Amino acid sequence: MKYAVEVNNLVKRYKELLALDHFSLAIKEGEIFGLLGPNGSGKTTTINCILSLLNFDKGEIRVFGEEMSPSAYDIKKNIGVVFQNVAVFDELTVYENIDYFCGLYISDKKLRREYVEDAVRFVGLEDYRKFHPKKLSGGLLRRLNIACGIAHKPKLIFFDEPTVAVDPQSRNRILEGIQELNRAGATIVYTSHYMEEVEQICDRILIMDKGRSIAIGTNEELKQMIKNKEKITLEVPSLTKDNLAEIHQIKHVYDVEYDDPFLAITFDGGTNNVVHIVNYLEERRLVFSGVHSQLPTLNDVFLEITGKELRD
Amino acid sequence: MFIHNFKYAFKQMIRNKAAIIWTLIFPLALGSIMFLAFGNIYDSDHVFHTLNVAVVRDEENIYFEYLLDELSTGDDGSETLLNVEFLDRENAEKGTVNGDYDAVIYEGREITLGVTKSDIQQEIVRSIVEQYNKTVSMIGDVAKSNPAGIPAVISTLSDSVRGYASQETTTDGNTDMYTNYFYAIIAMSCLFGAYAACDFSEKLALAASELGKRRSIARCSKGLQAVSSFFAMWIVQLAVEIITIFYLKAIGVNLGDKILHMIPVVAAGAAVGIALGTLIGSVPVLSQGQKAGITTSVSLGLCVMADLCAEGIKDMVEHTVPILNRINPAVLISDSFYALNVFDTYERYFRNLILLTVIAVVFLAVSYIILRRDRGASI
Repeated sequence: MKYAVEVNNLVKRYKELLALDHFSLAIKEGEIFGLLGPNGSGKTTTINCILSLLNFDKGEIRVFGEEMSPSAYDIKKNIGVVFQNVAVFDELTVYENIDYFCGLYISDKKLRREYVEDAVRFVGLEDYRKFHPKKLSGGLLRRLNIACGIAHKPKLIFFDEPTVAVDPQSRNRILEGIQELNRAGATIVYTSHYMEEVEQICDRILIMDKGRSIAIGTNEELKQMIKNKEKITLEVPSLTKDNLAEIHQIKHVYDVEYDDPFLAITFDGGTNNVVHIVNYLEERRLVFSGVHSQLPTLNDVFLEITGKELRD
Repeated sequence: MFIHNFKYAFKQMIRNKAAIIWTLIFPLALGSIMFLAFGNIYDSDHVFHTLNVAVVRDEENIYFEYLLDELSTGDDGSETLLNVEFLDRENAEKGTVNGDYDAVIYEGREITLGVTKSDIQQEIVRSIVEQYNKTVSMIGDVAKSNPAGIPAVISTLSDSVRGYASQETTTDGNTDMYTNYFYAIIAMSCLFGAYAACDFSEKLALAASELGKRRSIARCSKGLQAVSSFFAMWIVQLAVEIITIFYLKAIGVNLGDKILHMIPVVAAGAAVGIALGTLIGSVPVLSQGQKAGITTSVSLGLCVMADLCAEGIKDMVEHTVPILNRINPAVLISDSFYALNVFDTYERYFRNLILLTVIAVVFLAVSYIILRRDRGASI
């Protein structure tokens, strides 16, 4: 198995704060790897350490099998980064910005021109080549930011929360673009605190909290790790304690929460759970409405492991 | 990659409107306003000419007469500083009021200055009289406290006298004190290169911006990016300075006739300005606003010390803490121009050029160290 990135026992302190606590991960070549965690969990610190933008206190980082360092230019030529904040020059046009950053990797002028054109097409900025960044909308700016990070056709691309404050249309386009880059052969490292995005595009996901890895696996594997397999919510007014006790006795039910009239029932497995609940309510001639069944999300995984919401 | 970086740094520099306004438009506007304000000083009446001085000999003072003799003797028929005539009190004062004399000096144990007809002439004669009185007083003090030191003081006095005599105009008679303001404006323009450089440096510093991060992970080293940007900024800044000099010359400011000799000075001055901005921009703990504030206060402060706003600060510093004038780039720039247009020799001109270059190199070296050690992105 070839790994694009290997991080072993990484420790990073900011004075008193332990930002990374013996953190390890291994990202396979060709996968889209998601780093998921709440704000301040250490995602960006991890990325900055991998990119040698930050010194770390302990541990080892290897990229494509080689030890990473600030002067490891042979490794750097294969890396692209798209940061959360747009990082372009206001004085340069769209085309010049992409050409400038591509030129930091590619010396051959002809090849660079080809790459820049590819990047312009990839992000759909063909009509904006001569525009200055200040004339672009937020979504177009994000696309330019991505083009600047990927124009040199890197094999490993880091996307650090690229969809923060982005409208839904641009967000979808960005996510599709990332998948397209992956299909073209690039390994993607995607950090976000938006679980839906990570679920949508990532092959494997690492959930981190307080600088530690708390779970790793595919979307399905992560959901298998927790007891919650289905959650049914509905509105039933005036339930008694006896009713709640009886509901608790239904097969696979392991948690019942009631705040008149809202009822939430959590199952640890089973099939047709909605039918079982509805049958019980009809048998007792209880009036109900608004039945919803929800399969577990990564937020539920995070909640069950850490006891707190992912979006805290 | 050097050329690639250089090309884009150059493009950014010439498209940076704020930088162009501060480094070019502002000094040109200020120069124009000053020229309009001082316009009449360039009339022929105000250009330097030999000062006619009436001396009233109340009591013979052979030392002072020796000084007057030195100052009224020219080499090879060249123009002298003073034309001295000994008169009685009544004729001297009457002649001065009538405009026959620029000043009247009363010779005695102490030398005093009488009425004069214009501020500029008065300043020149006053400075001669004050210098003499100060030196005599110094000799008196030394004689009391350390008689062995008298030869050294006399030697200083002799140098001073020789200095008055030899520092005659070498160009077109440009010794008016207002020209110093224009020298200071050019110095200010050089140092204002710090604004653009501070911005550039910030965009290279890892902790200061996302652009710094993106450039730090590039295949191209930060050192190469910094050097190519420096050269691009320096060339643009140098062009700005040359435009400034020729503009001032074109509107009629008397900068002397050694214009080409001024170019190496502004080249070194521009390098110092850019190096200063690079240094300020590279400091990771400062915010963007703090950096802008420091750039403004440092560059303007240095120019004020070079007599940008008022005549006399530079001289005061020279007499109290001269080392400050040796390390103040604005003073070094304006003093280089002064030296070019006033002295025959190039000793002071070259000394200032070397000092400017050393300052630029020191600023750049410190910036490079800071940028290299810059590995401190926040959590």
